[in-house]
Amino acid sequence: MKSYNERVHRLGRFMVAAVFVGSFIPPMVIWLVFGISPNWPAFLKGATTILSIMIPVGIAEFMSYSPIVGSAGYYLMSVSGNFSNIKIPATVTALDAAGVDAKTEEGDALSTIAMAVSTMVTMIIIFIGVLLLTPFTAFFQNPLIRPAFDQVVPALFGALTLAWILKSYKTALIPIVVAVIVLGFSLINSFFTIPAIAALSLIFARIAFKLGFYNPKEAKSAEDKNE
Amino acid sequence: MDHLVMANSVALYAAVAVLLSGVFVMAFIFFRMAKTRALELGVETKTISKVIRTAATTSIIPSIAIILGLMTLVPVLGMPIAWGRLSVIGSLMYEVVTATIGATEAGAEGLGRAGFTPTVWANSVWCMTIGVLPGFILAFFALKKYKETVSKITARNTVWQGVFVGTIMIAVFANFSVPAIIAGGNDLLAVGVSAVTMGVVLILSKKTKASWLGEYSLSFSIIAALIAVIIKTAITA
Repeated sequence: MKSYNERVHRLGRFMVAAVFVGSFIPPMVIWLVFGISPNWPAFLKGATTILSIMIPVGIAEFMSYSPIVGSAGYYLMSVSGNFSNIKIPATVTALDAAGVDAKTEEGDALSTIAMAVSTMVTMIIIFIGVLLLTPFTAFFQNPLIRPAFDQVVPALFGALTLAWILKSYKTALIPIVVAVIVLGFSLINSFFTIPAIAALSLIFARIAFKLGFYNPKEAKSAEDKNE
Repeated sequence: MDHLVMANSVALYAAVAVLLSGVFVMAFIFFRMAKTRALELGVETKTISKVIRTAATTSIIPSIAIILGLMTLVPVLGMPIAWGRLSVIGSLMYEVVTATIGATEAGAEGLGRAGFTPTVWANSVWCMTIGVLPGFILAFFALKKYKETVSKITARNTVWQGVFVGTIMIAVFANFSVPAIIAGGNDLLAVGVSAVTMGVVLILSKKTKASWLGEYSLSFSIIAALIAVIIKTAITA
């Protein structure tokens, strides 16, 4: 167990560092091959603005997303992007279909498999999109098709929310009520709604837990594993 | 030289291809490592195959939606940059925001708008690249410690462990589904139809003991929602 975990963190850190360095290849090509040197004052101004947004957003995403996927899956997700619209839905659905609890060791390994498969499939489909952009453009410009594809994210999460209500309505109740209040009254800047809803829900869930609101069913699979 | 000539050059295609190949290989290495681990833990091959099939089919339609993002970015940033950024690392909203900040700080009126010279384009690319730094630093330095802390907090009680992870997960889902319900129109239709379809598929899968249905539950739900929006658009057009 320990050696697998250690290997995951070592490889994961290497991957994150390698992809970060690798992501500089395109701007370096622009600089060294085409001779367009960076406009340093404009870059510093842009970077300051972007980092002032991305530091809190990065912390918020990190704290919210990392507990729901395994370590290896999180490293992979960090470098492969498209967290909420592809990687998390694909992983959660795959584990549900297999009937495996994400919190167990088996769940950790399987969520990494799901994340890796999702990453590769996404890359292949976008590559096909690059090769066939002209026919795809015609397809998406169809006035019937375009509005439908704008709704992929709401459709994804409508289905996932309902699946969780059916699975554990008691766990679903508090975050849904909190989300309705926070989002319905636009209480928080949209960049920070996920961690705000998660944090507030955890506080209320903790109180409800202390009051005995939840029963062992909410942790059925975790207990099965421990027995 | 027009920036789009450089932006669609072989050199940039090659640079992006190297980066994407690296990520693809790493995803494959993690896949092999996790598969070996799952087999060591006694997970059956058919369960692993089910996870692979479900993850693959569930990723298809949302990935097709990314091609829409490609159409938005390609005319401004060129194909290789758009391809690289959307395949790995980023997402459409992040790329549009950071590229726009890069463009305006370098003197253009906006992304692809007046004043979008080759130097401005280069600044957009630099800014898109630097913006992911916080996420990478956190994953590199803090993930191991944070995961250990979360396990410690939740390990004492399996009921609380289930509630803790479930609450965060539903908070993420509700963050995207609740605004669509509030927005109404196509958003509400998509959420409603996909949720009902998910419910029907899950109940059918349970009643008929057809567990394979669960593998396609999310794909069926999204397809049903897309069809509903297409029908509504056709009727109201």
